[in-house]
Amino acid sequence: MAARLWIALIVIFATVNAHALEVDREVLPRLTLGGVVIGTLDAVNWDSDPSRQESINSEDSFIAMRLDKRLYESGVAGATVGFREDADEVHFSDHYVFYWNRTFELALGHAPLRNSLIEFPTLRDDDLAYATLVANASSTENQDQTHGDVARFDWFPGEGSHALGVWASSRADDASGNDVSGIDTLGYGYFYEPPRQLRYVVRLRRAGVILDRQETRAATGKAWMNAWIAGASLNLNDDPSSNWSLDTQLIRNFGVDGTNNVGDFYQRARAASRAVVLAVRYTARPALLTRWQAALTLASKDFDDVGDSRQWSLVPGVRYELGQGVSAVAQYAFTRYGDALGGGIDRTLQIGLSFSLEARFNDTIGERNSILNREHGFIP
Amino acid sequence: MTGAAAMSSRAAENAAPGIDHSAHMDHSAHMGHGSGGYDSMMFMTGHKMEPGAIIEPPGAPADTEVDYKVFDIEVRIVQHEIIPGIKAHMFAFNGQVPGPEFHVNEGDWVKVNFTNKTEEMHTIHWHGLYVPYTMDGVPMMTQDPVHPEQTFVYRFQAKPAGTHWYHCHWGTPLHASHGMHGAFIIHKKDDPLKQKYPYTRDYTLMLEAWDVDLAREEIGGLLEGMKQVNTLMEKGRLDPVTHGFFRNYAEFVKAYADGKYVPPYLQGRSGGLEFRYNFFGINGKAHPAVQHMGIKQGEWIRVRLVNASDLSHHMHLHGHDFWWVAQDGNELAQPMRLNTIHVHPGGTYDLMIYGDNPGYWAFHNHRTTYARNNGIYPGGMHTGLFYEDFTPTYKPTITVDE
Ligand SMILES: [Cu+2]
Repeated sequence: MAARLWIALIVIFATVNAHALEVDREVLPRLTLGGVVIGTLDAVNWDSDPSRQESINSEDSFIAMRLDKRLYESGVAGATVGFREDADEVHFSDHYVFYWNRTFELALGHAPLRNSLIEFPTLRDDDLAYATLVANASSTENQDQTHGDVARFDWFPGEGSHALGVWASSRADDASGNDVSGIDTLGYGYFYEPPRQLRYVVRLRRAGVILDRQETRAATGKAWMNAWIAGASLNLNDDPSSNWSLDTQLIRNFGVDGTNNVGDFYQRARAASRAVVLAVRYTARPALLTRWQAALTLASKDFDDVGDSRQWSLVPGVRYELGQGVSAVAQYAFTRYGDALGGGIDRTLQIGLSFSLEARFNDTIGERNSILNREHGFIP
Repeated sequence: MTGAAAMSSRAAENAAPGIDHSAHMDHSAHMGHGSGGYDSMMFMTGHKMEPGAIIEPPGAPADTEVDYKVFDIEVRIVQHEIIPGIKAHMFAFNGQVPGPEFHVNEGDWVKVNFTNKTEEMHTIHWHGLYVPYTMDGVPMMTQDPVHPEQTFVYRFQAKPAGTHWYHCHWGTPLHASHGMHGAFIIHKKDDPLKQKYPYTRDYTLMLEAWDVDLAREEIGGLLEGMKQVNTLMEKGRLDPVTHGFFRNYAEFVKAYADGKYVPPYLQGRSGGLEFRYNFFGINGKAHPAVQHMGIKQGEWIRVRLVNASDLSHHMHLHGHDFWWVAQDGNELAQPMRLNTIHVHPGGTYDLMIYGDNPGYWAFHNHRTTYARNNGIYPGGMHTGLFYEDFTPTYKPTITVDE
């Protein structure tokens, strides 16, 4: 007993006293905290849901942390964990490990799906989800539209802004009534991503094309569905203090053959469709400090094999920076449904406050795609 | 040509292509160097980037009037290796850290063509030299910062004699320490110090401290901002307020009061950036990569310490006393016999060491936390005085992790 206590004490002592001994020291990881919390007062007038009333809305808030370390030889590995709120539930939306070096990147775990390409300047990421992403045809849950089990490999040929990606995913399934899903997504993509630090001085901020192959699991049986996503984000002028930019994305979903109804969510996800989103954004940055932003986003989607099935939206919004990462926000959303979708108009006015952060602690690493690494030699 | 011609005959002669000094000239300028003045161009409406421009400030004789020793020096961003495994991007004079060491004689006329090969702004300050104030390198006090791809011509007479140095004075806490520093030695004819201490070797040790992590973030951040600034400047649309430039204090106060300017030191803008130095060095290297000093029995050597960091260092020599003979280039009236010298930021300290105790002797910072590499002792500011003419009974090797 006494001997065991001594061994325990020695072990504890050795661990605490790891300093200056030839032992494995615990190396503190870099910690990157990211998150957004948005609170809005919503005034609504929805034909699609006449019972819907004004509300206090904190949907789509999330917090995530990335922990990573340099490795002994080269490259960086770490983990991301994140939580996202949806319909008053908290989801453990991100928990994945990753590795990257100068030429490639790997990720494995529960992570964002690669089913959209461009972020639009709407208040919340899911504001126009019907048009901005390829829906999960096997689940109606919000969190299953954006996240799933993912294994992904990105290669950076030329070690620059170009990336070729291939990934396999397992999207959550509540449609088939069984929880065994297996790999139900294969995706391939090309991405052009110059360093984020250059976003006000390059013409093209981001562009790419994705092929998303999804095996849908309706009660009627399994079927593969292909969707193409193409998009670009570009600067319309070259004035970083008074910036105009444009974001656009197209989704061509070839659907599952024989889906001629769009009455429920699954059908809408499986029906062949075309979606386009386009946003124009003005950012005022006097003395290169971002002060306010105004954006107008247009979205439209219709289904190939269903008449009068267009849904379109017009979303103007403004954001005024009260402090770094703290904004007063306002957005109006107008959405019109074709008769096949029930017809009518939804109107939403939202006013609120948004708090976002991206804070790095103990940064001993830097980023692969930083200006220094890209333009002045890569330091692993 | 109006004011520019009046600056000096030389300035007119060498007027830079593309730089129209007349446009911003304050004709009533009386800046104390005779016939005219030259003001900042930063407030000139439509002030533009002029890559390739050669800036010739007033205040020194023309090429035809004196015989200049001419030096070309440029700054660029390099990957500098402090020790194996640790590389950092730094601003480097002629690509090296520290920058090249100048050796000139007292009274020499010196002309330095300084070219900025980065996208950031820089200057050179000649620390300890009696230069015309227009050559002193203090942004917006004595000159405009040197813009990307511009050449600024510094001209001055080398005085006073002694150990001096030069460093960038733009963004000094980052720039000067993270690369832009070098020794400037002015030799005196019949140096009385050499007569008193007939030294045969002369070592310069620049004492350095780096925070390679903050530097990565800050240099990256500067480049991000400067690419935007340069984009604006190329089109003549840069508001000087972007750089925090104001014509005078009242204008600064007003810009803040009007909400036109949100100063970056505000607690709403600055997270309180602090250096947490994790590497320390001598002449660009950390132990065990630092070169040793050699000495022989009966030999005098001179050691010039230059503190290029903003920390204090306490250099201790084992097995010897040394004579501290000069500070900031000036000979001390009374040399002091010490074995630990306290080297304060910006200062230069000259030591004479006499070889009378053969062996291998540590010479290190006795603030021993600065004799570490990323927290691991020994490292950093640690070198040795190695006798070359004796038979060792214990041969030194290397230790890096105690
Ligand atoms: Cu500089």
